Amino acid sequence: MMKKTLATAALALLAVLAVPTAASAAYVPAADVVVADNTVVAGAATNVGIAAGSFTPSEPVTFSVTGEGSATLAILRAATVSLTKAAAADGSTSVKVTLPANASGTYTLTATGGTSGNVATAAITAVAADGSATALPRTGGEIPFAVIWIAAGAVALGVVLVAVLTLRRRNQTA
Amino acid sequence: MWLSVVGLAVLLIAAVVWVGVRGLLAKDELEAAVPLASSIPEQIIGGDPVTAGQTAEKLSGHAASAVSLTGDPVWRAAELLPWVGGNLTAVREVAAIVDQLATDAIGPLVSMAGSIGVDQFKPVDGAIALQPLLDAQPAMSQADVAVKAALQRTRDIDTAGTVDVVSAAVEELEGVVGEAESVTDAINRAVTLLPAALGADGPRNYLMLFQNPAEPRSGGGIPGALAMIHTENGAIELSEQASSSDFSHFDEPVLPLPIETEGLYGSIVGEYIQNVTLTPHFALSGALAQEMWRLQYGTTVDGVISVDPVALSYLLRATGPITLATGDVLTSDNAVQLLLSDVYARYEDPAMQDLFFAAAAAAVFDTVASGQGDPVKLISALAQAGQERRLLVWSSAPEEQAVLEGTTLAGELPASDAASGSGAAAESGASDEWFGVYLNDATGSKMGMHLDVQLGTGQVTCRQDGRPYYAIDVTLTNTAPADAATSLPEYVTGGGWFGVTPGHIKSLVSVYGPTDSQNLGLFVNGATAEAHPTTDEGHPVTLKEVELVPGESVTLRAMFLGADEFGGDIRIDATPFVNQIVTQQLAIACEVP
Repeated sequence: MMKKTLATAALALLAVLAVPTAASAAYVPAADVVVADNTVVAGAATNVGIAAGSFTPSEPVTFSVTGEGSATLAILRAATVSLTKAAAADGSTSVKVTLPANASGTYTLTATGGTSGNVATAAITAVAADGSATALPRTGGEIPFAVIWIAAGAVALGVVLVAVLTLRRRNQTA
Repeated sequence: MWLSVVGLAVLLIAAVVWVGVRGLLAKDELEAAVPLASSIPEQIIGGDPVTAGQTAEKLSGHAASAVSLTGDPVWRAAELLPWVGGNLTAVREVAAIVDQLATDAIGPLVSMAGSIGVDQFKPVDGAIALQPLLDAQPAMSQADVAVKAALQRTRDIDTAGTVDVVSAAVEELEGVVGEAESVTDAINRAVTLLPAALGADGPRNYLMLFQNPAEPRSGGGIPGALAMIHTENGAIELSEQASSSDFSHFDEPVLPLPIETEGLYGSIVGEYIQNVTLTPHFALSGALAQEMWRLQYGTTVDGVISVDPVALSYLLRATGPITLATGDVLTSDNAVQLLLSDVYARYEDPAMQDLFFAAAAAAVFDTVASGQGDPVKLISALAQAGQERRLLVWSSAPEEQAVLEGTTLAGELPASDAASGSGAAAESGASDEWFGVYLNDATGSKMGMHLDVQLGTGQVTCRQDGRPYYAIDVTLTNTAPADAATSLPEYVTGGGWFGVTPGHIKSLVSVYGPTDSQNLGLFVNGATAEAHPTTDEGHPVTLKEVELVPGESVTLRAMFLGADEFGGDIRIDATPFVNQIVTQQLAIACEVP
């Protein structure tokens, strides 16, 4: 097939003319954000660190926090905070996030570089407080077949008895 | 008067006997019908229309008898009784559902049998016949709708308080119909998508990405080799090939990236062809690859398809061994070793490595397109690859992408849905909980073959409100030899080009929790560990970077707080690793925050 021949020829050519190519710079991903505490209690604070090289040196970085309350709560727990500060000379930065006293749910932090447009995100969770048991235990009903027949029979007999008694009463009163 | 009392008693007893006897007869009819129903799909796919037709007739007969046995006024009246009534209703519903399936689903399927068998999907001289597929569309759609309706109706049967025999029968019916639904659903989607994809409405171009798991990415690996497939009126041909090193680096993402994707994986997702699969969301990877190909070569493709070497090895089971231009014989047993390991020892230049990869993929493609290869094995190879997320498809036409959505081919983020539990779990409304585990290489190397990955899942309920803690364990081990820095080729270890000591493996692990869960953070050896907690499309995510020296191992435990009581199974959607992974069950203690 044409394609195979071309591929073979290309392979052969490259074997002769191969020159090691420099690897493309900076395509490798890296973790850029570290949050000090996994979960934070309402009213407490945690530090969010963003690694060197995330922003251009000394550029203004805008931080914003939006809080999302638990979907079951009707009262709005959102807290929106915004602040701008300059990145360090190596492009790193950090910020302390304090959760409100009535915090609940996930608080999302977004850091945006003013000149580079680079973005870093983090989510801080105020774990839902433990409530009392809400679900009632399920009690399944499994009645043996025989009992059902007996029950059906009993119902049938009951109907007959009622009919008999009614008729007898009618007979007596009649 | 006494006569009328006795008469009434006799009537009542007769009614009880009537219902009892007809109930037993109906049970016999249904017990005969259900196994027939489950044998029909095989007969259709096997291309045996005569047997399928006969089976369908018998099934219709049994189903119709069962319906008439349970549909009379005495039965209906008896359904009003307490205790007994629920069972009678359930049995009548089962009979009605089986009858409905026989008429609305199996009927159309059988009429198509013989024209829509496995052979239909086999290319002849590089082309697949489109007309039979187009002809099958109305019947398949009708059958699919009927089976889905039957499945929903079965799930709606109220089995609370019914006897074991009846609830077991309903469960069995749900199992049979559920299996049928997955078959009719898949065939219906295939028959809907394939004709247009194969160029029935005009020529199409598709970009194939060959993901290389030697350098892991969330979607599998870096797209090292690319090819363009051209389809026209059922004919398929490979029209262009390229290597990832042919692509320029784009200064800005080629498409605007979602903020969360950029926050997790960086703007490099949209700047390098090697990084479009950094995100586990394949629809985004596909759109980025489409745009990069357009900027590089000018053609806008109609969709993107991705495969990995393990998927190729499955295809090789269907085609048999293939001899490459280099003289290598590619088989299903040696394909992975050859493409992910030997090639780096043999060729130093990345461009040559990609070319070898592309030549191997082209050879497999040519063999399949020419019609060689067992069609049954081919379809089961594609199905296995699809289930393991090694075959991913994205279409730029929204109505076609909608048909793909919900299948594993679409490569979506893990979704927990209410109907995914089985048996009792589905009844009680509980569902399977889906988590995602994705791996990205941060070494800039091809050490993927030396990274061993193990997964574990567990849950425990410690809270009073019954909300469970979920634990997802990811254990990474660097299995490279101690002298890897010198014994492995420089291209494999990365040669220190990206700041990682040769022989070390640096990886980014991201664990995704269900959208309604809360992130409890990362733990290593029982202690809290620093990590990057964030979100992606409503999922709480924990991202962690680990660097391992040869021989070193680490277990990361990501924990989540579930939203409701645990009732199904814990399932993981993961980067398709080179080796098959058996997920371990973990026992979790209650000492968690």
